[in-house]
Amino acid sequence: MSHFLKLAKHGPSARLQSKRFMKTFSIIKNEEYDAIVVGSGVAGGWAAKELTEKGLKTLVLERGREQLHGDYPTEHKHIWELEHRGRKTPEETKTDYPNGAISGPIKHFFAKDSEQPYVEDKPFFWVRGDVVGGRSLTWGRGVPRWSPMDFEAPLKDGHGIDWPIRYEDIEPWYEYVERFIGVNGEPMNSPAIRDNIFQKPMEMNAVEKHFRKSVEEAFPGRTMTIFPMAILTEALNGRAACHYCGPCARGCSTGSYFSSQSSTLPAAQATGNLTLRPDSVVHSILYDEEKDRAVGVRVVDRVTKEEMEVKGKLIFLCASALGSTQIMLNSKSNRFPNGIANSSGTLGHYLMDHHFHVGGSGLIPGFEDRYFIGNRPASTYIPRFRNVGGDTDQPNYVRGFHYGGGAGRAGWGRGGGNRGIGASLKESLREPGPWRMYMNAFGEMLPNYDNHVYLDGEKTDQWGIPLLHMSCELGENELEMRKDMRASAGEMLEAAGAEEIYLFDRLESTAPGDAIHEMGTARMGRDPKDSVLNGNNQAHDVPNLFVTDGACMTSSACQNPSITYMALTARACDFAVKAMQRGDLRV
Amino acid sequence: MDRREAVKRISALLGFAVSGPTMAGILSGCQASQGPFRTLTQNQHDLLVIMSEHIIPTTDTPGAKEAGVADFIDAMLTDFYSEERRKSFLDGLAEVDDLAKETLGNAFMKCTDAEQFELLDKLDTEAFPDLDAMDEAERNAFEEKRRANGRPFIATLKELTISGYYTSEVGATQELHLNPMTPYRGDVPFSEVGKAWA
Repeated sequence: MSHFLKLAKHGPSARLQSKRFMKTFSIIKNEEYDAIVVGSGVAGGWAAKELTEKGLKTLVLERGREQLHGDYPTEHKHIWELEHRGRKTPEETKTDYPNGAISGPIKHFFAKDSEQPYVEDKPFFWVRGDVVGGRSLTWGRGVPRWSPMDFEAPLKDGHGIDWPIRYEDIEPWYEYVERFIGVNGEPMNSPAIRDNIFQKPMEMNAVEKHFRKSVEEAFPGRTMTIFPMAILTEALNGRAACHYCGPCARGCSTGSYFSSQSSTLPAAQATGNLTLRPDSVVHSILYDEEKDRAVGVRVVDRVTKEEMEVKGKLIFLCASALGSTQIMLNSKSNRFPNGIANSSGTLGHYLMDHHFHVGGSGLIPGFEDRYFIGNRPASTYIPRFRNVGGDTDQPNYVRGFHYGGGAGRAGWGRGGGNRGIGASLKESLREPGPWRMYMNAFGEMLPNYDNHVYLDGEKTDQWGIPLLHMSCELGENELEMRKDMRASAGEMLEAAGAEEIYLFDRLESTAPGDAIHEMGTARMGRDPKDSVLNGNNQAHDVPNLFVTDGACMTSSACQNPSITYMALTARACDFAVKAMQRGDLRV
Repeated sequence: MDRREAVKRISALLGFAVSGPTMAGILSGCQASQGPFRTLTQNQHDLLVIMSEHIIPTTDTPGAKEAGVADFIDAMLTDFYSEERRKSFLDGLAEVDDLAKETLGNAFMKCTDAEQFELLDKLDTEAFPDLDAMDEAERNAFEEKRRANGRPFIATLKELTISGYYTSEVGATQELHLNPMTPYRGDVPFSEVGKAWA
């Protein structure tokens, strides 16, 4: 381990990254960049890599603070070395980090709600990365591709508008992205999923293997596999294979999972074309009516609150779905009184997330003589098996859901709920407890005009940007689907011989945003009248403005979205630079 | 002296920064059960040292006392418990002391080891009855009482002791063991591992 750490901390990428911040604000504002990328997370990192590699002098603006690769304060800390043994205090939960995904040891990567407020017209979780790399440092790393049926669904069932692209348009870009980031997993042979390009998979444990066999025997057409993950099981591009320490989201000095720090930013840095500035809160996009183009951005320094304008020929918004949408809504001009590129009036609407916290678990008897070594940072995966044709089609809802999950053995925590104290208690907890299989479903959410965000008319944040209001809730289709998400977990657990089956639907404690897959508020479409972006992530109204984060999504499917954002970003960069070279984007 | 301040001064004396694990060692060294504590009185702390040690005793590995569980409880009560829950816990602690005086004629601290253990064991048995062995009326009565009185003190104490112990260095490395950073093997015989991962 120490060997890896040394390489990571003192390797070329760390050195380059620290150098790049020598540039001051005044230097930045006097330059005109070929491209400005707003955000340095999953999408922004990819835009930075692609644009710089194609020769564009690129400025990446990140509102969060600096975060160097390898400088991860809680990585490899033992639990007794962590503040509050890794717990988040009730006070912190209440005022700063209400979302359960923000645990104690990773909270420093996120925005505090108390410092960066938003307005919940209806309950909503807005989980925002607040460092260079954004949520690429803390994401779940699950990367199943979309399949052809996902792009065809809106046209077929009439919910939402037609995607302007099909699977075939994005497939080569999935391949391109996967070759660079590294994905492990195994071929799935599922109608709902197209396989990634895989490194060798992580192994399932004894009970997961049993569960898979039971499900496949009892339910032909269903399968269970290991989740396709953007984690290396084989070294790639100078990044080491996973060392199985477990809590990826604390940061990984060996670069074994994909993050902007481990992957895209060093590649962008290596071109010599990258300038990255943290602490740069983008207030709005500058639009020149005469030129009919975006010409730059207005930036506020996060710390000093100094304001300035930076010029660029090409603008890529990669600031997260709601971050980018907030900037666009706040970019007002005579031509666009309701936000830049919003002639359709759809900007801010059709907000989606995935809905989850529904599923089940059960004890699986036996297998007491089996265990595992190492901390596997991957769950199991049951790809979508509903509404994929034939007798899988459901009468009560459209689209579908998948399950993440896994089996584990009860640990010492079980001691608190049972009778017994003293040496016998201690002795009994020295052994692992029974196996339990756990299943949590993730479901697709349909786009709905009423699910939207908008700017507050008066209140602004500390950088003078109007606060964002969220008004979003699950609809009838999602609620019907949840019944099946719960019940299907039960029938698969039963088929595997589970006992003490516990089925749950925590509808009261979850809310949109909870899955941290928010998307759809500047959607792609064929018609400028009902969408913001075209099939190349280019604003219909402003040809040199591109949005490639979750805001662009026309529908949500049920798969984890980041890999699709990466592929769309790389594809959009390719299109934009070619268009630029042809002179189509003249500024 | 504030313990973090102590560490800073030690660092200054030594002329270099103290590493994480060393710092944890120094901190636990300072936590040798001398107050002032953040929530507990010295007497409450003394009681919790003894009670937690009865729940997770020293055997072939150290127990709750060496793991500093009472200090952990002090921190939990301070940073994680509401005023109401904190009071309820401390009232429960006082009640055990009262119960010892009533039934054994001595304050809990003055009882013999065996008496102390039996008292706690009896409370534990009452808090975790064998529900399957009860008929429905008995079960209803038990659940009614639980609803009225809330979670018994002993159950909370046991939970705190267990989580404080197994997340301590002693509990995680001497009693159990840390799952190593090593190429993952998903399906191995338990005999190859021998005991639960921390």
